[in-house]
Amino acid sequence: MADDSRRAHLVAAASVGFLLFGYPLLAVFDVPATVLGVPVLWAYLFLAWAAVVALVALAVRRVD
Amino acid sequence: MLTTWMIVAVAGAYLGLLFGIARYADRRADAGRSLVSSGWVYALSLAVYATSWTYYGSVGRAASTGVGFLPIYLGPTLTFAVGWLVVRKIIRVSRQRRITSLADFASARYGNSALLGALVTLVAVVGLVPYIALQLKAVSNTFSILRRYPEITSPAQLGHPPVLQDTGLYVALLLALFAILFGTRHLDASERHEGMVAAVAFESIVKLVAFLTVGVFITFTVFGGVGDLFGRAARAPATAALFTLTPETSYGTWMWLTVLSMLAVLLLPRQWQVAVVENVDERHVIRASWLFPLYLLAINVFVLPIALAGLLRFGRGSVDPDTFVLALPMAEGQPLLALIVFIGGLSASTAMVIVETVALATMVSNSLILPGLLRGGARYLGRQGVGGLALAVRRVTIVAVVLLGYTYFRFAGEASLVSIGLVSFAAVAQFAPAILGGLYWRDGSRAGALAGLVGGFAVWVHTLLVPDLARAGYLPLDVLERGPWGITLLRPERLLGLGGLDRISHAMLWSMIVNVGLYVAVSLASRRSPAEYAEAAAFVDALRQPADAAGARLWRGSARVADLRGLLQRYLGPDGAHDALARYAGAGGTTRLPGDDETADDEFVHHVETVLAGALGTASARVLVASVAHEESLGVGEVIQILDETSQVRAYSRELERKSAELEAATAELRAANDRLRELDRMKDDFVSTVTHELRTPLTSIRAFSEILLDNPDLDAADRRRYLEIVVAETARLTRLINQVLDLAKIESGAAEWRIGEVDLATLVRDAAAEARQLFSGKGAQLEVRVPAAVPPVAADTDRVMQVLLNLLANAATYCDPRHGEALVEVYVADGTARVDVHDNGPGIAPDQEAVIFERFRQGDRAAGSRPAGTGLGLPISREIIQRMGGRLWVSSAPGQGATFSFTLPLSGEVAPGGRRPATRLPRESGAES
Repeated sequence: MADDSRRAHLVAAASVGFLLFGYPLLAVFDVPATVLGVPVLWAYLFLAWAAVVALVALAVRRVD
Repeated sequence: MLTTWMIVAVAGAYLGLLFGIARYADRRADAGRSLVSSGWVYALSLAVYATSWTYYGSVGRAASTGVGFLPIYLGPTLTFAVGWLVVRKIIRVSRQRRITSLADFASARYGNSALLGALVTLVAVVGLVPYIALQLKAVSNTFSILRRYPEITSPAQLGHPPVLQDTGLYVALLLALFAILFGTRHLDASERHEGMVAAVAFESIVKLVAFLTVGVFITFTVFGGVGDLFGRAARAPATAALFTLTPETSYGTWMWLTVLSMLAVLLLPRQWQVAVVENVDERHVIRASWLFPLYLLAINVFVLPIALAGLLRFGRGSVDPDTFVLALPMAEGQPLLALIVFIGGLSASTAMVIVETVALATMVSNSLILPGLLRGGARYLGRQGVGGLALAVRRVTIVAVVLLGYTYFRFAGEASLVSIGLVSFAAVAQFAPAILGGLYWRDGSRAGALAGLVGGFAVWVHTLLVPDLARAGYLPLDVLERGPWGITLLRPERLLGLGGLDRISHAMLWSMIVNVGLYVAVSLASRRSPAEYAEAAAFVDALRQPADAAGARLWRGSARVADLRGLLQRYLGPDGAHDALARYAGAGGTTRLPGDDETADDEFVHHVETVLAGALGTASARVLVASVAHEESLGVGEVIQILDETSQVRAYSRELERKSAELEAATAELRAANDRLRELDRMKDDFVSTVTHELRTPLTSIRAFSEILLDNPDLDAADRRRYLEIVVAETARLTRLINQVLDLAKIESGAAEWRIGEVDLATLVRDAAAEARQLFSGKGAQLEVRVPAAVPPVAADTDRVMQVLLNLLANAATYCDPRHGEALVEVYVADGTARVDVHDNGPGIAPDQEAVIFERFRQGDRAAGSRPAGTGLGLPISREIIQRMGGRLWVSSAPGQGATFSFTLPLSGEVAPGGRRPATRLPRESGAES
């Protein structure tokens, strides 16, 4: 039971990652502009990345 | 200043430190106090993924494509997000089978196919030699650049130093020595190499710290912070173009690179080695699934800033972007920082070479050489058995692979670090259908895996290797332009004329179509051997079995224990054989060791095979056991039957578990019901005895006064009248009591009739107040009524509500202050309910009495001392009535503040949350709520 829910959480986290790291969301942020002085795309990718890592960390925390 | 000798000394000291760490960790492991048994170390050892490609090459790629280098690190994040599902499954299977490498895994999955194992090994060696070359190249180049400090040389101007003066060669040989010392300690390759893992984890820290140091230095010291660096880059057109992905990198390329790295992070032999073979506990995957991606994130944060800084500082063309990381501190006159960068790069390269060669060595010895030798017969084998031979093969392989890599580096063309690495990634991605498909798809067959791998690898050779060879001058360039044999449709970089893709996407697209297509098609078309059926089921269901379960036992035949023991002694040596048998017997001698002249049971045969598999590979182990056992070959039908039986047994046991859980739940329910019945029975007895007691009190006084009247006929008129009044009052009380008992019984049994209709609460309250006013005025108390102008109708039974109201008012009249008695009735409407409050200014009710007063025949202590004023049934009946009509009745009070009895009723057309209670409730429940 617990394992099934964990499985669903992890697959969901990976799916979010796949969505954030891929077309078309990527194209939305692929613009030659800066936000707070840093390139939009660079900022977006690292924030999205950190978010996915955090999601996975939350999802596996349920394992213990 | 930096002298060559200083650099050599520091690098030498660093490598010496590595040897020291590895040796210490191995000692700790031998002493049973593992240094590497932690999720942290596991995640750090996985970071062997970040090689000098990451360390130097990412900046080089970022200098031409902006964030185009990132998918290589995003892919692993996605793979490890589901690591708990996928990686754990691979670890579980490998542990059960003592599988020691990627090739062994493929071979075991497809019925111990030696051919498949050999093929995987060949592909891995061919695909990875350039990757190893890349690491040696990075070490050699950075050393040459650093020793010319403060002058900055581009690698193209370096040329090759003479072989004997090339640091690349010496580093290569040192690494081979390290790999031999710490990577081939045991014959049993399924044993972990803790020293190696500790060293690799340490190197992961070193390269991360070094890279972050140089990143912080360049961003915050050379430039005025992130904003300043990006601001300046934005003003220069050459660097501003790197802020976006397109047009340099298409989204298609981005996606292919992501997929490629998702596969590579599992299927590169070194990743397999650290993730699966060196894994101490599968729970470590939990921490690694976020820590390893976090590591990759950290090591990539400064890549784009450094690339931009390099372009701003050097412009394009003068300095190779692959060396920006080193060249920037050199140009800033920071020899110490440059040295730190060099050591960081050295750690990235060495970790990769060490683990990769150890992994390849296991594959070459156990999946390529040994099966061949065993097939060739025993004449190659000395008296010592193959134990020594297997280790020798591994050691020679390590040296050979490292030297092959070095040779490739000396003779291959000057490709960039990243492009070499990607070619290797594409090679190992060819394992994906066979390995991952085999893990999840039961019908994947040996023939399918072979066909897919051969086809995919052929496409890889044609689309990636041939162009490289042609450009390096080993093949005519004509092949690229006009296709082999002049067939333009087969041009390596435009297969079937498909253009518009970069070479990696092009190669991945075609090789995956061919590979997956052949794997699926041939699997579906081919007949599978019984062994394949068995293994397929065992692999696909791996996670459903306990972690320590042995693999499926699909063996029928007979073997003599003496023969098997001989086999162990011959191949593992006397000590190895002794250990293996001791392990079978278990720590506490739980399993009996069979005697030499007995026939071995299935379990023993299986144990021998698994032990041999750990040392020699699964394919060889199968061959060896078959050589001493008289095996009955099982038909496909029988195997399927056995598998069905096993799965049926599993299904039955699951069913049984479910049933017993249900049974337990039912038992608990029954017990609860039983307890409740007992309680009810007890309550009934209490009720009967209380009722009788309450009946007796008025009866006693009636009887006493009647007897006085009877015995004293000459009593004076006043007394006679007084006694008769008492008799009448007590009779009335008796009647009321009996009526209420009957009433309560009727309500609780559900026999009471409810005429629910729309009730005008305002009128009802006023009527009740008018009726009760007599009670108050009799005591000299005041009754005030506050009713809003308009009260919506409530759904209730008029007579019953009246009964409740009168009850509460009578209660208030009874308990209000004896001298200045005051009572107040108020009506509110809120949230779909109407609420009536009846407040008195009596002594109030202590908190612990608030529940008690709703119990039958309990009147609370506030009337202590005085004669009971009521029957003790009014409040329980009122509460019961209100609850039946979907409302709530409660009291709020504090001693000395008076008491407020409140009840709510649902407005007509709204149903209160609890709904109307069904009429068949057990009487007990009303008691429980009081």
